Amino acid sequence: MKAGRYEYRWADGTTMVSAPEYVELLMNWIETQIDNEHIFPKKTGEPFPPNFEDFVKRILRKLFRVYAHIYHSHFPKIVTLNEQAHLNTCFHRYLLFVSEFQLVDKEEMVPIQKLVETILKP
Amino acid sequence: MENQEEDEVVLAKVTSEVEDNFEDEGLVSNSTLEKVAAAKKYIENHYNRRMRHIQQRKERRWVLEQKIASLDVSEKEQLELLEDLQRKETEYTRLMRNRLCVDDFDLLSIIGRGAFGEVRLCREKKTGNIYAMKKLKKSEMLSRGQVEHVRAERNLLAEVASDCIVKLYYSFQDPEYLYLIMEYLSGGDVMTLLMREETLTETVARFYIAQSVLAIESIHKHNYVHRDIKPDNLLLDKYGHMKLSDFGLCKPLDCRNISAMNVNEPLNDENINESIDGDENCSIGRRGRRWKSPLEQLQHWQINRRKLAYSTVGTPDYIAPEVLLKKGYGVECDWWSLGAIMYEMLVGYPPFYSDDPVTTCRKIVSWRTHLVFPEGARLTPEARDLICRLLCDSEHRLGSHGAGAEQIKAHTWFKDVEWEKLYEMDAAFKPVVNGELDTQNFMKFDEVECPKPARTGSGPSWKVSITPQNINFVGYTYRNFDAVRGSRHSLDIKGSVSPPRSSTDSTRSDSAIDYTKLSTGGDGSQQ
Repeated sequence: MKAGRYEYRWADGTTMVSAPEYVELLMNWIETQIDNEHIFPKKTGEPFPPNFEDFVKRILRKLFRVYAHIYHSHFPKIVTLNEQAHLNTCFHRYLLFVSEFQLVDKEEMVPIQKLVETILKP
Repeated sequence: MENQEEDEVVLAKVTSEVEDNFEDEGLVSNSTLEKVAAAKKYIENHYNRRMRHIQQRKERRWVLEQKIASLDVSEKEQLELLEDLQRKETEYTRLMRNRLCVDDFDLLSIIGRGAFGEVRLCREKKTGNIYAMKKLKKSEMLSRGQVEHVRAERNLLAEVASDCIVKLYYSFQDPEYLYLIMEYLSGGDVMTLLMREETLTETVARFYIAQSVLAIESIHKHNYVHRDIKPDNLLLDKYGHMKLSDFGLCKPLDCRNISAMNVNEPLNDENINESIDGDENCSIGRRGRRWKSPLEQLQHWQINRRKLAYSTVGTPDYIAPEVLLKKGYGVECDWWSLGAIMYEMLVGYPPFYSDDPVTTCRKIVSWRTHLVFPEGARLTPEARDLICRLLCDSEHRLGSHGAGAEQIKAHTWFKDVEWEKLYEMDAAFKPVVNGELDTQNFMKFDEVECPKPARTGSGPSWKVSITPQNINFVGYTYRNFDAVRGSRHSLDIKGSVSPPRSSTDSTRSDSAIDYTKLSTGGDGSQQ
């Protein structure tokens, strides 16, 4: 899956897949994580695991790649479909959240750095 | 040299990708458009729900702080109460993450059935709590144009917290069905009450009509028009208090014949001798040859009512003429239904009853001619007057033109009603309930075998929820904060589940005596 000059591969670099395949693999994987009660407990009073933050960071880092791909490769079509407000709202919230809690490294955001800086500019 | 060539190749690749991208713009498939619409709806609903959740959490905190301020409790106890609310909020947030499905409940007796599905008793496996599960078939909702109706019902139940309205705890869906998990009211409903008792004393009727006024007022304040209020939608809890329900399990009328109805074709009214008795909108008719005697009417209604209860076709008996004629209607159509129910409570059968639903509709539309009190009916003048002011044209009906419930409450028939205490005092009728699983106050329904849906349906649920087919049902999932139980320290923010019992006074005793008389087959004296 491409984001401009960058290419994301599944399994952290070992498998080259198309964007639709990548997104489906990612969404299925995230669903598995969220359904895992050892990571996201459901029962009353059950504590979160000590390394919970690591799991969250991994999920959010990978989600960023989907945003990067959409903005780089499909934004004109998004505008044609009149969906840019929805996309921007989702990304805006995502970005403010990961920025507030420092959940995604800045190097990861380089593919759409200008957009990121525009949103985060005070 | 090699590096330079590689860079050029990459750049060229990117350029060609961009070009391909622009070419794609003209070829947007219908499938893509549907997915876009579904995605938009999903996103909008998601953030609206988030905002509402945050707002409601602030409100709950504020309400608790106000209560603490008004109580004389120690600082330590104050902290405990606040910490308990915080814990409940945390658990509620976790509850919101649970993906509920029908497998989380043990299915028990069927207590209702309609065209779109059924209602049955169920027990939540995790907590043991008893609920009523209403199950609605999506394909039926879609084919009968009921999607907005169901959404409105779910939204109303999720939004209104009222003693007069049955409580919604959860809603969820699978590929085939929508589910509403609701408060189970084991006292039955007004329909089964009337099936046993034929008529009610004016004291008992007044109590339930008054509670119905509060319930209808409650939904009207939330801009909801019910349109199909009838005795089987008036549920009774185990103490005999009434709650309005069944907003979406209505039994649709067979409307094919109704639309052909000729409004200007009265039914042989020359056979009916009329005399004006006071109100010009009200006719007291003597028996004509064509119509059955009141006793025959009563007997036929009792037989047909039982059939109707089991059928999936609704009765038009309580529906306002403007609804039947499909002209525009407003909130006042619900007050008409209330008038029809009141008539039935006191007379024994609906005011426009006929064995044939189409004839019933014609009578309703020609209500001026056909609103008749049988000679033997012993109603007070005030009761007749109220019925006639509810069963009349929408322009002159009590409660219309924004006058609302206050105009009805002001009627002299309600003179002694203490409106603020209706849900605190003892109910006028006390149903027999043996244990929380008791369904003796409901009709008995046979089981119909249906295959058990798989927990997650086909494929991952994130896929299912975004398919175009499900666009109509986006945003259906709901969990009520009351589903989270507090510790013994917590104040019950929304009031106690069991309202405090006021001591019975002579009025209540009179009511009990009258009710006993009725149950032994006596005529029952009027108040």
